[in-house]
Amino acid sequence: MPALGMAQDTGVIVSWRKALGDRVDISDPLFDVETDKTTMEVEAAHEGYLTEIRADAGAEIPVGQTIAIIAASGEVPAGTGVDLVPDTPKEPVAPTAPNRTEPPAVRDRPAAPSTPSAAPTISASPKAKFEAHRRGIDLRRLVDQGLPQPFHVADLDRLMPETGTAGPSLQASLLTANFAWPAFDGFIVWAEEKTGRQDMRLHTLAAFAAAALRTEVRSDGADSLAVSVMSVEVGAAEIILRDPDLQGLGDVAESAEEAGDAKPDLTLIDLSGTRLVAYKPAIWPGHLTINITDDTEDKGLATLHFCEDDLSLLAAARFLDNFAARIAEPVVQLL
Amino acid sequence: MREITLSQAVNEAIAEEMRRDPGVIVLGEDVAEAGTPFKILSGLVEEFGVDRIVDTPISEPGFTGIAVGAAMTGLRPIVDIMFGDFLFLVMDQLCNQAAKTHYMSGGKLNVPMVLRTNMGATRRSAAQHSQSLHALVAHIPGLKVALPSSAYEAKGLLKSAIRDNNPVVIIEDKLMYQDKAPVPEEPYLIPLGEAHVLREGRDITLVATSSMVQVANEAADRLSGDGISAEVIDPRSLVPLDEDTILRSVKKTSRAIVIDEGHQSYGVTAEIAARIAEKAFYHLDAPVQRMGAMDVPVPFSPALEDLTVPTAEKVVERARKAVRGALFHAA
Amino acid sequence: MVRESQAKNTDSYVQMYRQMVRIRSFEDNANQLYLSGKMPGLTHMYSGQEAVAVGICEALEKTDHITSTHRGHGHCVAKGAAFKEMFCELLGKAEGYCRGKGGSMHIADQENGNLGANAIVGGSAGIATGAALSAKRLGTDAVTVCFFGDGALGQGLLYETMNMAALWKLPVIYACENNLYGEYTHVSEMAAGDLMARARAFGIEAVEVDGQDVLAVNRLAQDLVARARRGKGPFFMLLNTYRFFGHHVGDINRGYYRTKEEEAGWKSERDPIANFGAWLVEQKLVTTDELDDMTDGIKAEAEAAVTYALDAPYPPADEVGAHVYAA
Repeated sequence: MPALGMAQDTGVIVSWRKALGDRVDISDPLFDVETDKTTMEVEAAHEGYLTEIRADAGAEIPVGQTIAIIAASGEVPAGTGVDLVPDTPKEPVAPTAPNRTEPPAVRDRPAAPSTPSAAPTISASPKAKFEAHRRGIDLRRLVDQGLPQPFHVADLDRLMPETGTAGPSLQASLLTANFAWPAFDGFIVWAEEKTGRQDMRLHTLAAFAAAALRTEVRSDGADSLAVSVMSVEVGAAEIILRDPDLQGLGDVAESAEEAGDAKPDLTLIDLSGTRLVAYKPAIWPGHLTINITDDTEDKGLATLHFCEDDLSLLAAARFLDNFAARIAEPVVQLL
Repeated sequence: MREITLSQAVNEAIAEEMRRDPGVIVLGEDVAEAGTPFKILSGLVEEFGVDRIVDTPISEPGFTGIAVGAAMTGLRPIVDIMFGDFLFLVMDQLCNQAAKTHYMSGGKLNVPMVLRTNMGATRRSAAQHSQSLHALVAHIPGLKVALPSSAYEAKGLLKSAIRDNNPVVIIEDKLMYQDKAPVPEEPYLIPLGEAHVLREGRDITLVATSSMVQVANEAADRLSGDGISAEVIDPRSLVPLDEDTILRSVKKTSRAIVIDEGHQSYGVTAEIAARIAEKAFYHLDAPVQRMGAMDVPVPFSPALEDLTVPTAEKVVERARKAVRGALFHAA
Repeated sequence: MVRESQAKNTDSYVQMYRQMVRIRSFEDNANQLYLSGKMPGLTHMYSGQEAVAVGICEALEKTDHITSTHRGHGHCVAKGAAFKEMFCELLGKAEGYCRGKGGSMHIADQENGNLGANAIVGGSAGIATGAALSAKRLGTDAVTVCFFGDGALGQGLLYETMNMAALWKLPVIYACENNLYGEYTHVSEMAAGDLMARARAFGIEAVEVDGQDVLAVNRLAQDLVARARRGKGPFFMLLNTYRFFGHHVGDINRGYYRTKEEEAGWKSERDPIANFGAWLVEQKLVTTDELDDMTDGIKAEAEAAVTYALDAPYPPADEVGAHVYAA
């Protein structure tokens, strides 16, 4: 079946102009084909004898399929007959009755809320949504605060910190550990002599905290940890140290970073050496705060504020205990 | 550093390349003695002769086609099309022949030719001599497209275009031919596909092409008075496009406006804005805005023509709205 | 002396016959590939016009250039292309001349100076003229032949480039194959006035020749090519010829624009291969058997090439993005 047109896939044989066994010369009309446009006569391209006809008049055959054989000699092979079954015409597909029980098209649907609850959609820029997610801020808080939509990143900073009765998603928990100061104090004296630096206290606390965090909480180890430290006694501004536990003793200062938009994984607030005994910080998921305060003359307290949604009590306890142990026995830490 | 006009920069680029490579020739109308109506090529025919600075009849398709054949067989022709509006005349030779020959031949035939033409309205030249049609050619795979925004860019980009083994369309802004800029004496190249950050900023990215670079720069000056720091980026070439520089900037500033003198619809601003939206979506704090020429044929009357193109004032207004978060469409 | 030149002539005559048979054989196979649904897209048969391509290309060197048309297989074979790579290209296979990326209508054989078939009617007039400009500028003595059909006489580009070729005295020969039909319309309905006067209007010397007579075509081509090489160009040839098949391979039911009698007449009386073969035998330069043997050999070569091409691999998928830009 020849290709006779640009978009033709099949052709219907209208009639054969030659019979089985007939002598055929080049250009003799051989058969007529009906395409979607018209009926065309197909001529023989070779001379010889028509020894096989494989499709009858009326058959619809795909382009490229062999429908007859012209051979040099006139012998008609035995058993030659029509053996090509034309394509079975496709079953007409019974049109399915339209499902009248379906509600009509989308047009009628009121604006669908994106949250499962019945709350209306919140309009916010992609960046605002991204930042909110990253910081663990629920955009409904901005709605509640009455900030106008659509929200932008700047609006997240306008968010008032939550008061004591936190919503169910931001339950702040608190754990306290105690430890003895003397060993630590002695260690710091030695360290400051050795390195010639004056800021070893805060840096060492940060390193111990990061180490404890890495061991007990972030045990997959791959994360880079940022620890923010501040000391009231020293009075220095908050600094951020990256992976202070992975630096050499005197090199912790090298890991200081600019406090920027990036939120630290852990905030360490050293209130020791002052009369301050308690501080409750703002908290968000993924973030931890430890306050260090003085208890009795030789004892200190480390208080961990955390979200139990984020960090289990068990993990928090292990972390804080690990941290306190390092302060209590700093030399063991070095080993 | 010395300052020369854009016209002189183009002249120098062509002269230097013609001295360097005897295969470089120029074909166009009135390019020889007349040095083109814009007087850009003055002096070249005296140095290189009429065999290399070839005056043609008014047959844009014809001599563009000839350039294609010449490029395929060992020359590096520069075709001068007097007005960008005449690009429509040469589209078959440029887009069906030149652009596709390397691909259709399976990489065997090259067409190292340059087509130089111009763009830009507000010259009172009316609709058929004022169009900026770079979007049409940027759309065709196989062509490279460069848009110099100053004399410095013009020289460096044109030299790179002449040395490129592909058909490169380089479009100068006809209003800028007498504008001066610092241009080094020593030869230099500006590669295609490298954007230029004219000034850094934190609050909004202004991506601008050709003469709109100055518009964006002026807008940035005014915005800094408002305490808004704008970053201005000149892509320099549309194909290839330096996406990375643009995206890095938008990730930093979270806001963008794309400014171009092609028509607002279905053009360059749409392409760049779409890429920003696609690839920097989560960093956007405001919708990406597009400022192109009005979707009207360029009117003759000065009172009307100047309304159809982006201005620094309009850019400032849009930038302020973006930073304030005052741009949105109701859901 | 006479014997030697006679022998040389015989060789070149036999070569011309061989090339024409190669074209005919190629086209027959290409046609079959289309009809049996094995070739993607469409193609345009050159059968009947062999003497034009062969007569002209036999007067050219490998370093001379040609540009071709959508009906380009004949020019391609005549300028030295091989069956295998040509069939591969028609089937879109990686070993085709264009790595399968051009197909029948864009087939190019750069090494043999074929700058490519062109799917835009008249679209290669600029390219051919440009190649002639290069030759002049670079001081090579290459000549370019621009093949086009009577249909291209409607394209403005042709006149623009002939004008410039004449102004600049370029070594290009515009070869108009007048096969009497532009697609489905007779040339008399498409081209007003005198066909050769068009070239003459630019001061270009124009010569008419019987396109079915390969010797006449070749003699004329030799003369014009030699003169073009010496800087006396451009020239215009009007070759009167006929295509035996339809406009493209699917144009089978064409009685409405071309009568069967007309077709039959050209096929029986004006077949360039049959006529030249008869002449060669009559002149006792070859025997009928020798010609038949040659023809059989060529047919076998073509069939083998088809088989090869059908089995040959397609270009890998990651090549779709290759060659958009040159390095």
